[in-house]
Amino acid sequence: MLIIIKGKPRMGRTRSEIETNLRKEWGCSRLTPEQTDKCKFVEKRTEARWIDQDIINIAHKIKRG
Amino acid sequence: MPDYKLGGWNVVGALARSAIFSNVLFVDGDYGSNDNPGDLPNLACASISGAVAKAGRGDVIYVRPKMTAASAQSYYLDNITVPITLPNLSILGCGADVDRPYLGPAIKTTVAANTTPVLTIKASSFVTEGMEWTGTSQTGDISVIYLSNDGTLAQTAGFVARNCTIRNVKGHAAGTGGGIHFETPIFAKVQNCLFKDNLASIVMRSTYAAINTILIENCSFNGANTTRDVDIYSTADAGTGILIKDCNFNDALPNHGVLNRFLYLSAGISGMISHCKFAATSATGDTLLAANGALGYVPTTVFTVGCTYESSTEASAFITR
Repeated sequence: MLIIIKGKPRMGRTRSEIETNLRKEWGCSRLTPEQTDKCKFVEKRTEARWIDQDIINIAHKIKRG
Repeated sequence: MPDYKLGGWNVVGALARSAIFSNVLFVDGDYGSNDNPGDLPNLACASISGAVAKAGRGDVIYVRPKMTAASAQSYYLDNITVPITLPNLSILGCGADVDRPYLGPAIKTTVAANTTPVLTIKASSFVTEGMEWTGTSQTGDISVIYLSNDGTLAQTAGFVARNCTIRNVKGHAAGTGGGIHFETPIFAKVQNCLFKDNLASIVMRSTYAAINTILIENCSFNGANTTRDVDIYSTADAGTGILIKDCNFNDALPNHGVLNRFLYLSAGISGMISHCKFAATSATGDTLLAANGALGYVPTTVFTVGCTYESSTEASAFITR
């Protein structure tokens, strides 16, 4: 019987969570800590789970419409 | 959900990616195993091809740099095929720092004769970031990243390469060579990439359909001029929306012996070369980028705007047709 445990995945549900945890596990990740903070900023405002790097790099330009 | 806008446009990219992002896989060439599920860093796969075999649509694969070699950099040896059934796949390199690409994950072919691309893509919306895709310096009609596109068994629209290094690729542009070889680029982006010592860095054809929108932005084309024949090459007989923007063509005019140009763009395509810089000296900017230009073969349907070179006589150093 397949048992499905519902809960938060260990590495996180969003890109910023995954990147933060990966830096703890491996000592390196795709985004720098500064980019990860920007990623978190965009995630909160868009409710998106995954933010592309080109959006992260221009996070400061994103405004509420 | 409120609308969030960037210069008047909704941030649709972020929201669209959020809808298709599904699982995350990890590759660790030092401590991983392809017998692992690959869904946690300490249960990582050993190779990217091992992770791709376990991946589903929209998955993201994180790759850790190999660090166990005595030298400064050790390579993954792998050949990867992304089938048409895996659209929206991402392969992301976890460099020690994204601004130090030499220390990022590097990958070479396993095939000694250099007859198979390191990465063959047949699926749409593939993304790779922060990886070093490397040839073996062997001659042969071969590319490192090959994008098939026959419209049926391979549809590679939406390809993105960002912050990657692509080097030592010796397949010639006239065949199926090139650092990145597009059978037909459709809505493709190549951004912030470093190309070095490639006979041809980016090759574009129109085997399935006309070229339909490709952005080559903030890229640097480097290497001794004898190791390069042409940096951007097109044999497409039709196409629109080619934009080569803010790129640096470094070192010197390629001089390997066949095309010997920074750019060689076929007639029948249209677009623009915008604000690029060329490492070449000339007394005049006239016809450097033109139908028979000294720096690049560029048809009149591809406009050159704000491009510069080193002028030996003029103050402006702008290239004019």
